[in-house]
Amino acid sequence: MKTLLAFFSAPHQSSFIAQAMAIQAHQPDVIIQIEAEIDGQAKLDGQAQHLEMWLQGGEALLSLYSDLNQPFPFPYTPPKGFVPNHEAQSPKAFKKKTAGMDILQVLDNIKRDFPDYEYRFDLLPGAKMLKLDLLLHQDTQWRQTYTLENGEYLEFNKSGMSINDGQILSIVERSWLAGFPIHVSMNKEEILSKQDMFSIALESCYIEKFGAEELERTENVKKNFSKSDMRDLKKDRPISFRSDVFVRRFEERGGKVSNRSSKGMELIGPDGDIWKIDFFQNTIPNGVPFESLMVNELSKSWNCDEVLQGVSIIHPSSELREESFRLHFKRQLNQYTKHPDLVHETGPFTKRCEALGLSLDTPIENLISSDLQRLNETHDEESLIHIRVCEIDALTLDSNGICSFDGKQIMRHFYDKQAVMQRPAFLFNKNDSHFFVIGSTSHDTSSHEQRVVHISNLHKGRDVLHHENRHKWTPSQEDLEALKLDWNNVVDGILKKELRKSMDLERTFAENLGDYFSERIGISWENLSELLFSCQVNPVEAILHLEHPSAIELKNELITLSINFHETLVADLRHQIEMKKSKLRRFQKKNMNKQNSVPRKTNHDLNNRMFEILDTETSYTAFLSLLKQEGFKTKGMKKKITLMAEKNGWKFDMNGDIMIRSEEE
Amino acid sequence: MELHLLCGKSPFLWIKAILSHEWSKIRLYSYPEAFDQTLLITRKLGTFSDVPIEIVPIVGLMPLDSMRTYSQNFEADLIRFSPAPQDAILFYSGTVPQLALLVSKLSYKSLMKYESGKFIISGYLTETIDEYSLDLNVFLNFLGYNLERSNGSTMITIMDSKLRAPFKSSRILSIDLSFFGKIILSWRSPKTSGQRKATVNEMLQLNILFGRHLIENKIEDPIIENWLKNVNLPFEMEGEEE
Repeated sequence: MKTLLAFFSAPHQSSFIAQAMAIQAHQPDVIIQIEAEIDGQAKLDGQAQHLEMWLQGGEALLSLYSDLNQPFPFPYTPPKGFVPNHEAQSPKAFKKKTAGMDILQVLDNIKRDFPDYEYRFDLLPGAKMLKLDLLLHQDTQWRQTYTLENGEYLEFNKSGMSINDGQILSIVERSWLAGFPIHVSMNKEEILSKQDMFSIALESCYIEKFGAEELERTENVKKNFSKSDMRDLKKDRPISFRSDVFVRRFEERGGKVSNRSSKGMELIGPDGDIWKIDFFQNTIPNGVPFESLMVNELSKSWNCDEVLQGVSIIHPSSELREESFRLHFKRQLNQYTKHPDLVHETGPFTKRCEALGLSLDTPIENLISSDLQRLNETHDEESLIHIRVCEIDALTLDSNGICSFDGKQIMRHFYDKQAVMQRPAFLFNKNDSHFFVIGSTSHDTSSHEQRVVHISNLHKGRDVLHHENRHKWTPSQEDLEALKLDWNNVVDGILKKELRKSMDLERTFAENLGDYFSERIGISWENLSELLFSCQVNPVEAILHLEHPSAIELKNELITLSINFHETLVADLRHQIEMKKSKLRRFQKKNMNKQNSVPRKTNHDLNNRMFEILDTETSYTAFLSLLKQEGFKTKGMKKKITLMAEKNGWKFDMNGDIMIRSEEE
Repeated sequence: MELHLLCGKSPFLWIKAILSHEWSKIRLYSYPEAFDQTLLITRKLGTFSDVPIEIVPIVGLMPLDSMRTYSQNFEADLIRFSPAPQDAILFYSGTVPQLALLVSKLSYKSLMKYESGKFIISGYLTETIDEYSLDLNVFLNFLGYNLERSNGSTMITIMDSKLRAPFKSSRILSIDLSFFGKIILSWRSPKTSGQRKATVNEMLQLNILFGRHLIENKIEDPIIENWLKNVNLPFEMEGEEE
C-alpha cells in the first residue's frame, strides 16, 4: 500500500531540516505539508524552495546557490537531495492550509482527497502547541509517529510505543537545507579504508617528551614563561607520533616510517597505504593527523551512522564570504603588527605576502585584491579557511543527533567560548548538547564537565561519556611496560646526580622529586603514581620501597640528596634572614635620617630669609652656608635668588658686600 | 479538575497554569535535575493557593541520552502509574514524545494548551481559562531571585540571602517577559571590543543563573548577534591550544 505522510510545515528555515528528516525516514509516496503559522513567529522569505528542490535532487538544490564561484571558486561537498529506497521515486508534495479548520477536519479531508493510502502523521516538524489535538485523536487510520535523528521513527498507539527503521538524513543535506554550503574532507568510508594504518599508528603512539625543538617552538608562541608554566609544559605531554618509540612500534606492527625529520614523516601501512604527515601547517602545529586518529576511533567504536572529518561550514552568500575574506586578511595583518617577535603570530601574514610576491608593507587593500585575483586563477583548496563560518574537526550523526568533536593533542584548559563556536545552531537541535573535546594529555579536570575525553578511551564507545576518568590516559599493556622502563631510567638518573642540578628551593624535596620524574617521563607524578603503583604514593616513599638492582645505593643517594637539599635550604633561609635583616637596618637608618632632618624649606621661606638680609652687609658664600644649615636645598640657589630679587624689585650682587639691596635710583 | 503537568525547562507557563484556576489537585511530574527548582517553586506556590501539590519523580532526559533511549526508559517508567482520573487535565509542557507517551500509557483524555493569554482545555473536558498575570519580578521571585533596577543599572540578588549579588550590570537597556516566559534582555550596543567582551561575559553569567532556554538577548551588534547564533566568536581565543 502506498504511504502518505503529513506533518506541520512551519514557515521558517530551520524547519526544513525536520521536514526533510521525516520525509527521508518514512520514504512516503505522497507528502502533505500542512501550513501553520503561529502569531509572532519569524518567517524567512525566499527560502521556501529549499525543500522542494531537495526533493528533486542534489543538483536542483544546488541551483538555488547561484553564486558558488564568488568571490572565488572554492571546494564544497554537494548535496544528494532526497535519497529514495530502491527503485522508488521522489514523493509528490502537496501543501494544505488549515483555512480555519481544526487539524482533525484537515486530516479527514486528506483521507477524502487521497483514498487508499497508509496515513502517517509525523510529530517532529512544526511547533508543539499545534499538535495537541492530534495526541488525543482516536482515528486508528492515522499512525502517529515521531522521527528520530538516526532516521528511525517512534510510533505511538494505545498499547504504547514501537520503534521502526527508517533512513537517515545526512549532515551534508542538513547544512545545504539550512542555507549553508559545506565542505567535508573525509567521510566514514574514506576513513575506514585507512582503518588499519590509523589503528596501528595510534597503538604505536607514546609520550612525546619535551625537547629542545619543542622549547624553541614554545618560545615562538609565548615569551617569558614562568618556572611553573615551564614545569607544566614538561609534565603533561601528549601521546604522539613524534615520540622516540613510535617508529619502533609502528615498524613492529608491519608498517614502515620513512623521510622522518623535524618537519614531518611518511608512514607506509601494512597494506601499502601511504600517509604523509606534516608536523606543521605554516608555522602552526598541524592538528589534522591527530584528528584522523580520533575520527578512526569514532568510526570503529561509536556505532555512528555518519562520521565526517574536517568539516567547513561556509558563509551562505558571496557578500558574506567576501566580508569574511577581508576580515581574515586584516586579522592576520593585525597579529603581525601586534606580535612582531612571535613567529606563531607573524607567520600566516608573512607567508601570505610571500605567496603573492608582495612586500610586507603593501597596502592591505592591494594585498586583498591581489589575493582575490590569485584565488580566482589558482582554485586553491586552502581558500576555505577565509570564508567559513566555522571549522569542525569531526561530526558524527546517530540516534543522539549530531555530535561535534574537537581534537586537541595538547590541552590543559577547556575554553567554553570556543566550544560555542564549534556547534552552529542550525545543525544542532539541542542547544547545550553534544560538543566533545578529544585530547591526548591528562589535563586539569576542574575546568570542564563531561566534555573532555582522552583519545586512548575512545575505543570504549559512547559509554565512555559516563566514565569518571574519561579525560585521563589509559595506557595499553605495552605502554605500561614502556612507562616502567622510563621510570627505571629516570631513577638511575638520580645516581648520575641529575636531580641535584634541578632542585628548586621554593618547592619541597618531595615536590622536587615528583617534578623530576614528571618532567622526564612526561606525565604528572599523580598519574604516574596511579599507573605504576595503582595508588597515590609520595615520590620519596616510592624510591624507598624500590626493589631495584641498585636499590641500596639509590636510597643512600636519596638520603644524601635530601640532607644536602635541606642543608642548602637552611643555608638559603639563613641567607634570606640576613638579607631581610640588612634590609630592615637600611630602612631603619633611612627612617631615622628622615625624622632628624629639618623640614623642607619653601620659596616663601627663602623670600622671608632674603628680606632679613636686605640692605645688610653679608657675603653670598656666608648666606649660602647659613641657608644649608637652616635646611634649604641650595642646588640652583643662584637662579632662585636672582628670580626672587627680580620679583621683589631688589638688586642681587653675588660678589658685593651687600648681597641684596633695595633698587637704587 | 486535576491539573497534571511535566516540569519542563521553563517553569513560567506551569506556574501560570497552576495559579489561573482553582484546581482540586496538582500533580507535577519532575525529574532529578529539576527537583530543587520544583520544590522551591511549590513552596512559594503555597503562599498563593491551598491546592494540594503532589510531586512525582520520573526519569529525566539526561544530556547524553538520545531521544530513542529516553523514550524507551520513560515508557518503562510509566508502568508504575495507574491510569489518570477522568477529570485530570494534562498540560502540554515537556517534549512531544513525553506527552504522547503520557497520553497513550496513562490514558489522559483532556489536554490543556496556552494560546494568546488563555489556557484552552480540549478533549473529554473543554474549557477556556483566563491566564493569571505573572510579572517579571514575581516570576523571578519564584525562581529565588530579586530584581533591582535603578539609574540604568540592573542587579539580581538571591532572595533571603546576604550573599553577594550574583549579577550586576549597567549595560541592560530593558528587561521584559515574553508571552511564553522568556526573559527578553535588550543590551546597549558595545563601542569597543572590551565592552563587547564584557557584554558577552554578562550574557554568559545570566545563562548560568537562569539557563539558556529562559533568556533571549537582543543587541544591535552583528558580531554578538552571530555569536548568539553559535556561529562566530566575538573575540579571538587567547592561548588556544593545538
